[in-house]
Amino acid sequence: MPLIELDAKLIVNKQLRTPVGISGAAAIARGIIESGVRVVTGYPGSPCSEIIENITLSAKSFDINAEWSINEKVAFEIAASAAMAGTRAAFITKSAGMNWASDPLITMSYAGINAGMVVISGDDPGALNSSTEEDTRYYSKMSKIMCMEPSDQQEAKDMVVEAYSLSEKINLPVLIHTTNRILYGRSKVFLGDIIKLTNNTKFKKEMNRWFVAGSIAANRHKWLIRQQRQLKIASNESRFNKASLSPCAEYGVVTTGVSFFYVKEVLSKMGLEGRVSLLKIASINPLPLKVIKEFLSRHKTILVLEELAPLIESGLKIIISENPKHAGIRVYGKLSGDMPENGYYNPDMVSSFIEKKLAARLPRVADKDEVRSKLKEFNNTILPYKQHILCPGCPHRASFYALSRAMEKTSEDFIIATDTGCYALGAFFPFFKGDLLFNMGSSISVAAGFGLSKYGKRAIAVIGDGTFMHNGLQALINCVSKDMDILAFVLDNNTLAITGLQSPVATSIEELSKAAGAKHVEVCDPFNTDMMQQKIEDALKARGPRVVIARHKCAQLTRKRAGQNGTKPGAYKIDERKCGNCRLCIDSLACPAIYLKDNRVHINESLCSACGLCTAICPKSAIIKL
Amino acid sequence: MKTNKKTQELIITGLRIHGITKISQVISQAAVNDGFAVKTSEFVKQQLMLNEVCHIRWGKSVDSPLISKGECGIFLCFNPISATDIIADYLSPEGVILVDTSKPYLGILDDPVSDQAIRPATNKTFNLPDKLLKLLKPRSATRCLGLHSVVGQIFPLLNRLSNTVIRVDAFELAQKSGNIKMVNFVMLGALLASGVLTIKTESVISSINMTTSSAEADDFIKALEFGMTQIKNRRKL
Repeated sequence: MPLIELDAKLIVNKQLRTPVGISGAAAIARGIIESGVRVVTGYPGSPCSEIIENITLSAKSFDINAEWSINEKVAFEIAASAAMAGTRAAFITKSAGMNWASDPLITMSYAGINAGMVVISGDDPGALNSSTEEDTRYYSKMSKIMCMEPSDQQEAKDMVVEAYSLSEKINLPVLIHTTNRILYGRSKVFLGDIIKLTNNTKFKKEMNRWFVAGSIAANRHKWLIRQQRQLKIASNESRFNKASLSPCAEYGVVTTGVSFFYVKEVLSKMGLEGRVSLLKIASINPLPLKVIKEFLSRHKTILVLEELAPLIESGLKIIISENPKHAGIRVYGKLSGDMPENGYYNPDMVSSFIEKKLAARLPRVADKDEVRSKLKEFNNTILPYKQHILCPGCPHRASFYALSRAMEKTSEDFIIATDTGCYALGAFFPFFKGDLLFNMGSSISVAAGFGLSKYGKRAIAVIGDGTFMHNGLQALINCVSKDMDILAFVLDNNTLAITGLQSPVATSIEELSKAAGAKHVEVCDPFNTDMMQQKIEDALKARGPRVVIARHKCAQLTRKRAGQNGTKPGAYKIDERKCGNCRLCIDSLACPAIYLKDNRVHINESLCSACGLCTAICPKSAIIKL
Repeated sequence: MKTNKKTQELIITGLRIHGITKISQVISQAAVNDGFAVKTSEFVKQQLMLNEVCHIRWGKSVDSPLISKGECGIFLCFNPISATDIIADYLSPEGVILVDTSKPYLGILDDPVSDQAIRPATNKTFNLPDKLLKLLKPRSATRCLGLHSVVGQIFPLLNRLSNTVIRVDAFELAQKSGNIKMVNFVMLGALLASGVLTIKTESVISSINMTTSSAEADDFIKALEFGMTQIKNRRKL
């Protein structure tokens, strides 16, 4: 179950004349299929996972090798080398994954590629499904490759197709930067023809190109710098840059990505189309200097609207400062403090910015303010309770329950470093097991650092199976080799649940841990409550590097399989004669299926997935199978 | 009824388990089938109990994928308790609210928060510091899915804000239709039957067939039609 519905059926539609309403992820997937790509790699992460998910369903019929790699670095290397060898390839990642891929990206750009390669990065302004709001456009500057940004779904698809031919022309990968509003949004898209590739560039052994080190690397860097001339031409000529000039307009708005449509909407609502010119920049690196200079020369005041970092804005300021012709042009945006650098933009933010700068007014439509503020009050009282709840039947609930009980038994106090995944919800009611959360795979090394410090408490690292394989393993090897005192609590649910139930790289975590040298390695099913608790308790008391693995399949995965097989998972109910109404089940589990009605405990059958955890903790054995 | 030329705005709110993104997908394709331009924005989560929101706009031409504040004409709310701030921000003065009142999703609790909310059991089991106990006090009672007594207070406010608040017990309808998972399509049926959408029912049905495998599509259409007839019957009464 991916996060947004897949349009796999729509994107293989044979009638090209009739448009389809598809998501940005599906549009990009279609662009990749249309371009005749054969190798697609990536690592799951919102808002990007659905691109590969959409391709996977029809990969066979288009002869595409689409894979979820172990992490982004490996994924990039596979895709880039396929492109070097002469096969069109795509690498897809979310913002944080770009940090992982940046090492091969920067190195392999020196060698360049033979067949087309497109890198798609999905940023997440507002950190709606991420831990940061980073701007991956900067990586195109660092690696000196072309970066483009679409404004809607149709453009996203067309841009992918164009990026492949451009990539082959300049022998470098092209970065397509998108955001959550494009990928997790739908609009009308016209599909194009699927290209039949004819000219295949064959790979030739060539030490001076493919052996990137020392003097060869320095030479290749010179080549990369020479290529920048072609990049600049491509940037200026890109058909996706669009200027709509109003004669004698004093104000100009420079924008990119989805913000373009916010501006367009706000200007037409205010009736300002005649007074303001609009420039949409689609080629971000290098900036289309010719286009920008011409636009600048017509206006006195420039407003810049771009999500994330002020990349275009600072570029504009440099252009203005270099050219005496542009002296006196004022630029307003993030650097002037008018727009925030964090969060995603929306039409309301854009309209208040334009109102402020242009002294225009948009009539307020909302009425009955006191009713509205009362409704908001409700939200403020309920907000803390309405989120952060694990799914019914989630094995993590059982694991955290066992961890809570075990920690209660030992008199010691621990600090808990948790990690990226569903189990981060264990930090909230009712378990409160999670004090630190940083980047993906950091928990084990963070726990190790706390262990070495003078902090005083010993540390527990909570980590999932996917995150452990992504890069937690290296941290464990490091800790074992230094004989550090940490407990790695691995919650293995056999899937990458938080990104949409992708299959992880199948290996045995206990064997890997043993091979890494950990002496204390235990595996247990968390729904075997007593044994799980005992194993954690023993591990908490012990010293040195220890690994405890709680293994049980994700409840959503079980649900999905049951749905496919047409079976029902069953449910539990409360035996009202036995129930003592102590509410231990509600208070200690926070299972959404258990609720109170008329002051009595009930189980919602439709939510219950028959995990049976509550039966294990009920002191009166009042919970029975339906 | 609005004219076809004007842009229509719809916000759907609910938990992951309600499957609201499926409605978003079906409406997008239906709008395209009807010759409209369409744009949506989807705020999604993977965990079943977390809140999701979809903005959908369609009309002759659509620019922004997000709806401006105070301009949303139609609200479709599952789990309305988590939607109060969104309704307060986005509902237009003549807006219509279709709200799911089904109990099992609405409240873990039926009774108001009492001071007994922290029960000794919690304290004993978890040995929590005072700071957390303070946090826990209301939490263990109201928790996540909302509090029924509070929901009771929301409806009068919604009625004051909007002239048209249509209440539907989606869970009950879905149960009657034979599949409790179909709350989303039952509600979409109710929305279609209420006559506020400029999108045609036939386009919605062909959209379901276009986006979904044929086995599932039959179930969806069945639930959709069930929701429609329920609302139509209600109007006759």
